[in-house]
This record gives sequence, structure tokens and C-alpha cells, in this order.
Amino acid sequence: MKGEQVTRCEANGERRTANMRIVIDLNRCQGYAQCVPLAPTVLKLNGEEALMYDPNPDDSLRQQVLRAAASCPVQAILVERLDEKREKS
Amino acid sequence: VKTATLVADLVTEFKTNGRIVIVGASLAGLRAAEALRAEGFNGKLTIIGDEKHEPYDRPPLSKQVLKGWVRADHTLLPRTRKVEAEWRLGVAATSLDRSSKQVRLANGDQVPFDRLLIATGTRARPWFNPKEAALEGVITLRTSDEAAQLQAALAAKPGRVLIVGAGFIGSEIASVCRDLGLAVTVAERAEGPLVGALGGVIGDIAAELQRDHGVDLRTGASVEALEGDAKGHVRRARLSDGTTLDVDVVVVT
Repeated sequence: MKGEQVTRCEANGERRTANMRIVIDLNRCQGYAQCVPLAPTVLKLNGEEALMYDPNPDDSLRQQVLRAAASCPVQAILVERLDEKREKS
Repeated sequence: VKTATLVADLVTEFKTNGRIVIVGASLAGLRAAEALRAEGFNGKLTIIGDEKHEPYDRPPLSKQVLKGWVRADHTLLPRTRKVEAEWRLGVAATSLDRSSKQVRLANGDQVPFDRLLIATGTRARPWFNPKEAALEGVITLRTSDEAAQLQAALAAKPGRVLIVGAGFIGSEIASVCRDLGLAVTVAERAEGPLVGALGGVIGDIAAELQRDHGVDLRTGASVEALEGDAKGHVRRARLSDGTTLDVDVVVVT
């Protein structure tokens, strides 16, 4: 897998990656699969309608993921915003 | 008017200098922290979690992580805003002193609070026999670390995987095992998979699906005992239907 850029936060040894973070609300997801062709390495269909996703994909895929999130008819994809840097502690 | 002013002052004072402790550093704890900050709480916020990981998403652990597509430590949850909390990760909260308003931690530290939120969620049910539960290859699936352990066990191409319980997690793991080409037996005490959650009609459909995909599904059967080899690795399971199975991995759900 990609994303070996792991840094450590001295305060508590917490791991942080330089990857982006997404989460899909699988209760909300209805398997429309509009997102899949827009970010095919991040979102995959398992069988006919079960969506699988890489929750921490490489940051270079951000544009693809944002397009995929925007395409979701039920807005089930939450993408962490780039302009809000994660806190240090 | 005076009372209203007093209350407003108290609220302002609490929002500025109050101390809130959240026990549980997973989805609920994180979103609660974000909501508190979004609603204007500027006091001291402490989040305590027994796992060393910052908040992560659990549903992928039984799916893409077990398949080996996504690493177990790559399911960190997105943040919706800054929470500026003090994170106490990798140390469990062990007790609560309500009169002195302190949470005690496993390392002996005490964390004082004005308000406390307990968001610890649930835990995996362990195998009932502690000696058998300690055998290598006997695994429960709740945490990221357990997912990493199970993924590695499946990647090592075990001869047969036994899954105890055909609920959602057990059924998902069985599905992954078949995708990986592994022999898998599912033992379910009820008359079909998912019956507790979804009822008998869906249970029958799920049973057919599992069998069509090569799962050795034993319904109305429970696992009575596990046996290990000389090295303490699980090797055999005895079922209530009278059969004995050679197994290398047992997942307790």
C-alpha cells in the first residue's frame, strides 16, 4: 500500500499520515456506484452493490476523490478538508 | 432578570474555563469533541482512549482490511474541525470517582473534570474458555490491531478457518475467506445466518448465498471446545453436531 509517510506526534506517540482521510456512511450508501468510475483505485464495488473504499488514500488522488464525493446522490462520502490542517495535539 | 444573568455568567464561565473529559477515542468521542468545539466550548477538553490509535473507522476492518487491500492502520477517520484536545491514547480509564470528579487511568494518573462523557462503545465477546481463548490463532475482531492480526493469519493461507457465529461480522469474514480462496466453516447456533438481526426469511437467503459460495455452514450447531498443538496454536474444534474439524484460525464473533 501507499502512504508510508508516517510521522509521530511526540506528545503521545500518536501516528499521523500524510494521506487524505475519507469515510463513507454505509448506512446511507445505496450502491448507486456513481463514485466508482471517478476514483476507481479508491472506491470499488464488491459484488453488485457493496462498496469498499480505501479510507486513507494517497493525497495525489484528492481531485478524483472530491469528484467522486460530489457525484454521490445521497452524499454518503465525507472527505476531510485540506484547508483545515489537523491539529497538532 | 438577575437569575438569567447569573445563569448566563455560569455558562460563559464554563464555556471559557470548564473541563470536559471524554472517555472513548473512537467515532462517538471524536464527533462529540467536534460538536463541543462547534458549539463554542473553549475550555479544557481531554479525550481518553485505551487504544494507541487516534480515532479510526471500524467497518472497513472486516472487509477491505481483511482482504489485504487496505492496511489496518489506514482507516483513520476524517476530522470535521479542529478539536484542540489533550489526547490520552493507549491508556484505559479504569474507574470514576464521582464525588471528587476524577477519572482514574490504568497508569495511575487522575484526570479531573467538570463534565464527563462516556463514549466507550462495546467490546468483542471473548471465547468463553480463557485457556482455549489464549491459543494462538483464536481471534476476535473489534480493533484495528485485531484486524491486522486476523489479516496476517488469513494471508498465511490457513488450511481451514472456523468462524463462530453467523452474524454480520461472521458472515463478512466468511465472505472474505472465500474471496481469498480459503476453506471456511461457519458454526451458528440459530437456524440460519443473520437470523437474530434480520429474521428467518433473510436468514434462509443468506444461508443459500453462503453455501453457493462454498462456505461450510453449520446451522443449529455450536462450537464446544478448541484444542491446541504442543506450541499452543489452535488446531482442532469440536462441534455440537458431533464432528471434529481441523482448523488453523478460529474467529469468535
